Amino acid sequence: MDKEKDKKGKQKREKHIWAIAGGKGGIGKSFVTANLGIALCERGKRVIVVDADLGAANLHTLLGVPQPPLSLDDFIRRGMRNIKAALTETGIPNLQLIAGVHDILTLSNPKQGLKQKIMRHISSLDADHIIVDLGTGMSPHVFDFFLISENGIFLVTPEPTSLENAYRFIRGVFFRRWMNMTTNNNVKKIIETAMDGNNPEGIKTPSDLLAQVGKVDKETATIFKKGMSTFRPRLIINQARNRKEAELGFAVRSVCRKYFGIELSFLGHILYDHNVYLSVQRGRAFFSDYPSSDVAECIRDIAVRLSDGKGLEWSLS
Amino acid sequence: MVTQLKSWREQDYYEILEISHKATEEEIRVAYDKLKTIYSSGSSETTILFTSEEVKEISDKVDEAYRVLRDPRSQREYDLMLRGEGDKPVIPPPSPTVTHRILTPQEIKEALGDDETHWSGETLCAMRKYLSLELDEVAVETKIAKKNLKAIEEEDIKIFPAPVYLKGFLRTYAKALGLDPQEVAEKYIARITWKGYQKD
Ligand SMILES: Nc1ncnc2c1ncn2[C@@H]1O[C@H](COP(=O)(O)OP(=O)(O)OP(=O)(O)O)[C@@H](O)[C@H]1O
Ligand SMILES: [Mg+2]
Repeated sequence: MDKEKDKKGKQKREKHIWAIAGGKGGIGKSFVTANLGIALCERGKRVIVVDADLGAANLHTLLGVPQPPLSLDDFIRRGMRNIKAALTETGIPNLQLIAGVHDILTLSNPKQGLKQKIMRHISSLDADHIIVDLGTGMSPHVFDFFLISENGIFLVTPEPTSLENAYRFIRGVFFRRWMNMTTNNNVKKIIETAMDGNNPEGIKTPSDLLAQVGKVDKETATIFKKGMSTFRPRLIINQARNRKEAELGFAVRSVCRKYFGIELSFLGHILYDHNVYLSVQRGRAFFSDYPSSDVAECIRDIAVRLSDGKGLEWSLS
Repeated sequence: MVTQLKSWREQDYYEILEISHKATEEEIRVAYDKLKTIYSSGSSETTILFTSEEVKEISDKVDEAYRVLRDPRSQREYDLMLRGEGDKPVIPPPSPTVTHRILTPQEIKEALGDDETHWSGETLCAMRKYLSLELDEVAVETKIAKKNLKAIEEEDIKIFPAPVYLKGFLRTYAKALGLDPQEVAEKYIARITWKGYQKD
């Protein structure tokens, strides 16, 4: 028994689960999921990418593979016992895919139990890195997946609307996190109020909310405060057209630190390149067609930082 | 880098500069530089969540933090205070290097050789170096953005501030260098007008 445990301990490699999100649609979440997956494979990692966009799944096309016969849908609705059965080879060594659910709008807001089951199965998959494409939106289910993974990465493009969404996303996900930590209905109600950015109580930042919570339930407020250290979202700037836009990541990180009092890790930027569009149009994986492009280099740099668990300090390289 | 959930109003100087307590002089300077750029751009990444007054306040706070932490002595004092061992709040030191007196013609001559009356970007820069001042330091002291100081030194007419400001900047900069503000502003402007700078 002990011996077996030892053996297991030795074999056990560290497993990371990354959820990729972003408040805005079409900013490159699926593109980044697919190609970050490939970049990690290049580093000798075993990777699984999962399409958890329950509205518009298309991760397979970004990897240049045809629609797989089995998908997350078979697990969610057709009684597949283990999610492992939906694993599909991508033709890229060490990279496997779990394809997503197509056009099932009723599913885009699954029950908590189902969400947990999906996440549990995803977490049990055997790989060094599991990257989950969460799709667009700021619905509670996206927040929940982002949170269950513990390592959420959100994507921002250098446009005011994307930035605005990013800040709303961070706030939303943060408040949702606290929502899931409490059973006190009064506290839940306060958080519910705070979710609306223009709430009459004027609750804007986590520390505002904490103060309100403290008034009705001191103990919960303390628990909230204590659970902070494990919350460290990651940030990637996509479609940067120049250095200045790439450095936006430092600004977003600084604003999050100063406004929310939340520590954020900036993983780096990915340049804008029209060839990304072209490769998507052709239904090819970008990395296969442009392995030595600047964009591929950017993504490799991010892969290194993900592996090392270190964000950038104050300079881009 | 920050204590979780503390907003900028409650953050200490290290948190304001987003550096660790072990940051080197160079790291402090880099962080300061980046933060000043972020909080002086006035673009959406800051103004979505902060009002423009708050952005200004943050920018001032960053200056204040930098003044205390870049100087080993005041930094030590500040660290003691943070640990609850200091007895009084630390007053940000004025820049010890910025000259608070008028330089003598002798000193100017020493700095510039025989060139002293040609107030130009080059001679201002030479004066600054003679006084061992960094542009960052002058920017903190004079509250003139570094890029404007740089434009003045490089006589980069294209990115000069509007004429009304330029004169004020020149006077302030001259004063920080211990020079005669009136003389420097006049001679400098005469020189660049000749080079094609439009007065209004
Ligand atoms: N770095 C980039 N350079 C150029 N174009 C890009 C880049 N990243 C993404 N794009 C463009 O954006 C499009 C959308 O990308 P993608 O499908 O990955 O976005 P998404 O965020 O997953 O969208 P959705 O919200 O629909 O799921 C791509 O087809 C591509 O044309
Ligand atoms: Mg997508």
